[in-house]
Amino acid sequence: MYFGGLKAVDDLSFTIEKNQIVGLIGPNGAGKTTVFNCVTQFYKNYEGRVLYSTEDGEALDLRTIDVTKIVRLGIARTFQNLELIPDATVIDNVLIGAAQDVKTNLFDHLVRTPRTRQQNRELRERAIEILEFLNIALLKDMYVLGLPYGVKKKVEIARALIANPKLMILDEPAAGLNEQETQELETLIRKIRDDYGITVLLIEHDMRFVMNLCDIVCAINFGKLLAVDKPAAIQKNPLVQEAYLGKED
Amino acid sequence: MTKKLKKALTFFDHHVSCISRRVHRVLSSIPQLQFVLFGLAMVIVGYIVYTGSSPGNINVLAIIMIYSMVALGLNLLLGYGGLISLSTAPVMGLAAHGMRILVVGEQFGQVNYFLAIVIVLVLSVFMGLLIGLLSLKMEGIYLAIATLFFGYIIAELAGAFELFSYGQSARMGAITFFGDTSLSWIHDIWTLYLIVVATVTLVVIGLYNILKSPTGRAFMAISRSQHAALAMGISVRRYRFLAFVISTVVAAIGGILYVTFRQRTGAFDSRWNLELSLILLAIVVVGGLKSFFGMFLGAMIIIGIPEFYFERIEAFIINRGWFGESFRMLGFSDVFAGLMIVLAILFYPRGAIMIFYTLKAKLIALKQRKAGRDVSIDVE
Ligand SMILES: Nc1ncnc2c1ncn2[C@@H]1O[C@H](COP(=O)(O)OP(=O)(O)OP(=O)(O)O)[C@@H](O)[C@H]1O
Ligand SMILES: [Mg+2]
Repeated sequence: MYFGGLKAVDDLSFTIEKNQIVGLIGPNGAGKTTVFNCVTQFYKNYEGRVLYSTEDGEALDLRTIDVTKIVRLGIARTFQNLELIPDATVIDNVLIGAAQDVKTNLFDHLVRTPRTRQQNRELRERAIEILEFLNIALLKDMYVLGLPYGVKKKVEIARALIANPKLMILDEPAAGLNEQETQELETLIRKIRDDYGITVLLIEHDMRFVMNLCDIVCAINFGKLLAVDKPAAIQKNPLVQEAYLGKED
Repeated sequence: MTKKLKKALTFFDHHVSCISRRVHRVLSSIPQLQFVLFGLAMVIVGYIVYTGSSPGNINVLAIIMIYSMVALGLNLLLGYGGLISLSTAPVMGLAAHGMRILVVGEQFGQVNYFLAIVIVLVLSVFMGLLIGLLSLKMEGIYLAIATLFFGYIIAELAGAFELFSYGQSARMGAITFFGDTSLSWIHDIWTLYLIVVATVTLVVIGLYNILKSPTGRAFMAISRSQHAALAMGISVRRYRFLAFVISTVVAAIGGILYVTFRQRTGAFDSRWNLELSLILLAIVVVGGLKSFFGMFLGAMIIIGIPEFYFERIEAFIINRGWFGESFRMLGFSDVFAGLMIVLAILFYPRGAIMIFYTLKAKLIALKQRKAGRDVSIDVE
């Protein structure tokens, strides 16, 4: 994947197994977010292929799928820079994630047919359930603007969760969180995998968080793969150490 | 004596707060009712004006309601969809002229009033799609300019084909409601006013429903978190089109109401021009994004105050010959509108409607302070 002359992702290849928590690490500007954007089809002019195994076991080339249809395949993501509606309530923000489940049309909305009301009720209930799971149900009617950063991050996760994904892609979920919040997030992500059966792919700079949580870690630098391995092995990997230490001097 | 008065007051206060609490509860469970109440209030106000000393002011009331409704449609575009349009006035004009052409029928033959409405609305959907096309390619100031030229092109085409040059009068019992009751502007202005109030109320409720629905949420998503919208399966293109179609249809309804009420179409160069588009935009900005009552307040400030007061002041000043005709040329009302916009942006960037929220918060604070003092007195 190129940006002008800059090669942001270079000949990178890795596989994610079902029900794994996979970490993608690398120094700033390594191309992690760009990988996510290629997977979720925000960028389409990359070389190579992104394959996704569908329900009936077929390998689907995601490039053939429009960015707005990705969520229907069961891939939901969050963003590094919060992408929330500041002047909408928490629950309304979460409900954005349920857009694909809205079966009513504009006319239903115009006259508020019983069908619409029924559906709104169901979706709200589902949203509240998820907010309860994330321990922010009390804030559901607050406007997002002015909420603490940690809560906003959770709202992003809730919005992805309500889409009923099979694969959840989190871009720096722990960035900006304090120690305690990071711990809570760790438990939550583990629960997301264990209770909801969702495969998780995440980018994170907090090494302790990554090493505690992930089954597999993929380290990249300058868009190139350094190593894919178990966390313990990644920590010992000389290439990875060099990438991180080399950046510091 | 004072004790009795105090007792009576607390009794009264208690009941008022009981009622207001109950009203509040009903309103929060069926929020659409607030618009029905508003409609009823406008009927009462209209009746007082109509039977009062200057019944002509009922015109201003009707126009304010129509503009508030159109402004709410524009608000859906601006406040929710983050899009801008300067073609609102020409769209209203087209609808008004279209109604006249179809209903009066010197050119293409006569059509039933209601059928004419359907035709005009269908055409306005297409127009909305056309304007929406522009928004796929550009944003912000560029979009504003493009829509501005869209309006100019409409006006020019209209002039070139002499479509709208058959005069502006659309009265003569051509507008026939329910069989053969034809309404004339002179005699049935009260009925026409009721039609305006009822239509505006219904349209506003419809818009409110849309804005509070998944569609309304999608509008906010495409303007405030486009990436999240895409990732969650919301097509930005689709909702941009939809926003333009809805606001164009609402503008067309405004034009239809205008021609129905005034029984005149209004000319493109003097009424349905850029100035009106800008005034509608000003109503949105001054009134506040995202609420109908904000739009009504904005329309009252931008149109109501100049119409109700300044006309008189202007006439007064000009009669006295203080500043002469040049004063009229200066356009006191326009200066006022401009001033209001500047003030609104400076002090109430979220709209004049916020004044009420501030007042409410102050009132509650005051009440709490008073309650606090009462308690402390009790302790003594
Ligand atoms: N839209 C873009 N246009 C041009 N260059 C870009 C664009 N997005 C990213 N880049 C560049 O591509 C490289 C990789 O960026 P990317 O955002 O993927 O890094 P990252 O690993 O997510 O970094 P960080 O840890 O800071 O989030 C960087 O050099 C960046 O400047
Ligand atoms: Mg990044």
